[in-house]
Amino acid sequence: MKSGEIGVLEKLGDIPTKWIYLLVIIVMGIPILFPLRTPFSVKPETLAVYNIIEELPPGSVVVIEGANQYGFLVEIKECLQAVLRHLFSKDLKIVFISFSADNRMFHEIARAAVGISKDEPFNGKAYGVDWVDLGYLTGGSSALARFAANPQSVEYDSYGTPTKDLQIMQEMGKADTWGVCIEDSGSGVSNAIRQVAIPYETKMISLNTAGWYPFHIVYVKSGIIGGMTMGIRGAAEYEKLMGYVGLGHSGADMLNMTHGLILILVILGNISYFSQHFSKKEVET
Amino acid sequence: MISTDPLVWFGAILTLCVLSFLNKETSLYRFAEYTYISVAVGHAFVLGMNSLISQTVEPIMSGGVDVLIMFLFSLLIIAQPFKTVRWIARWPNSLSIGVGTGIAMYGAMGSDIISLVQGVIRDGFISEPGATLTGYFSIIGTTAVLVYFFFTIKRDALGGAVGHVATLGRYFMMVAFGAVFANIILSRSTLFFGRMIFLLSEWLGIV
Repeated sequence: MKSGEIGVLEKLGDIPTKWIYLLVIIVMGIPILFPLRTPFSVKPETLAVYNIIEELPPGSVVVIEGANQYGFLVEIKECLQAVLRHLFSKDLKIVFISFSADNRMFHEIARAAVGISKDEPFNGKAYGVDWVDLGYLTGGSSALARFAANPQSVEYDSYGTPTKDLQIMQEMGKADTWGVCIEDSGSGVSNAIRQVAIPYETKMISLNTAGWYPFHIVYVKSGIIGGMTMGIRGAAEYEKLMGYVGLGHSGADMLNMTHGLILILVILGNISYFSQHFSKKEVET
Repeated sequence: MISTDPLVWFGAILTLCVLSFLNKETSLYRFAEYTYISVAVGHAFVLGMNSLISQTVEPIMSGGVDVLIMFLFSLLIIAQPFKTVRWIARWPNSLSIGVGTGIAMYGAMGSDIISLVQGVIRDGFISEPGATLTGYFSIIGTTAVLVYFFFTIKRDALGGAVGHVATLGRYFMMVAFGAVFANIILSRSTLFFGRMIFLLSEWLGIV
């Protein structure tokens, strides 16, 4: 190759981004259309979530709270579904509460996907007795602090029923009596830690988005959070633990394929960059 | 089978409008963006009002004097846009900031400082051999990063040792940023996966 002439490796760096997008769409679509069922392991943090729920004494109160945005539905929903299947198969009292407007919808969609409805008992669990949805509460961290100190301060549930008429709410104590607090968004973890886990020493689980995971893993290592799942990968792991194949498995396939492609693109991009860098130097000398 | 639900079609069309951005910024993309923003604002407003009614108005109607006092006090924030009486808005703001800081402080100290330091030390000295190695790594990493952000001593102090440790700290941070970036890719590809599932499953009924 003559000095200054553009080689194949150097051209790789100039591939139009729209072709890369197209490649990603194709690679992502393959495992959706043809499930590959690539093997994956269960991380200790996900296993810890399963074990904490498994070891809860009968009748324990489980609070599921979060401050999600609707856009992240796919990251959390599958995992929340798997966790709900687990929770509703055990003798537990489950309380849903949301600290963002979208999160209430999140809980409704996840429950509907599992088949949980307020109108008829699910696995023998009736609304108002075994589970309740307290809907959306404004006030973020302060509202969570008030709820943790006095759950009865929430006067109405998500459907407008006074909470004093619901058996589960009459029996519910403050945060130090809860079996576990499940935070089902990435962004609300700090609030839950500050208002529930630290002041009341309540056991905590986090169903995280992949983006927030590296920021919150330190809380698992330091023992503040008992167990944590990571986005759709966490969903696949929890589905495996629960013994069924759901959308999480397709998600794991998709991640394996897409990340393989991105890894190849990163390597090719670097080769192209250094190849251009050295040929420029050659020209200069 | 392809969906006959008009809402699914609307969602699919909006998704395709957003994806048109992959080619270039189009008016279709803008349409989807503005639609999303207006729906999100409307939804948050309605739910916020519902929460206000159930948590404030209804307790006041049933004789909650304490809630009424705090509600009237919070209304002072309306003075914010008016220059001459803007100072009044500082009272509810101050209360809100003060209470918020007070509530957060105890938990923040416990979670973000004490427990994290305890965790680093515990991993290094108490755990099993394999975990201890990770623990040592954590201790070295934490110390090096702290040195990087310690600006009182010059980098060439102690025969340049401070500078070397700070550089090590920078490498640790670069690894951490790499891990965060990789997770963001994971997160975003999952979001796209969600849309693909929606298009192929709910809309087109292929899967």
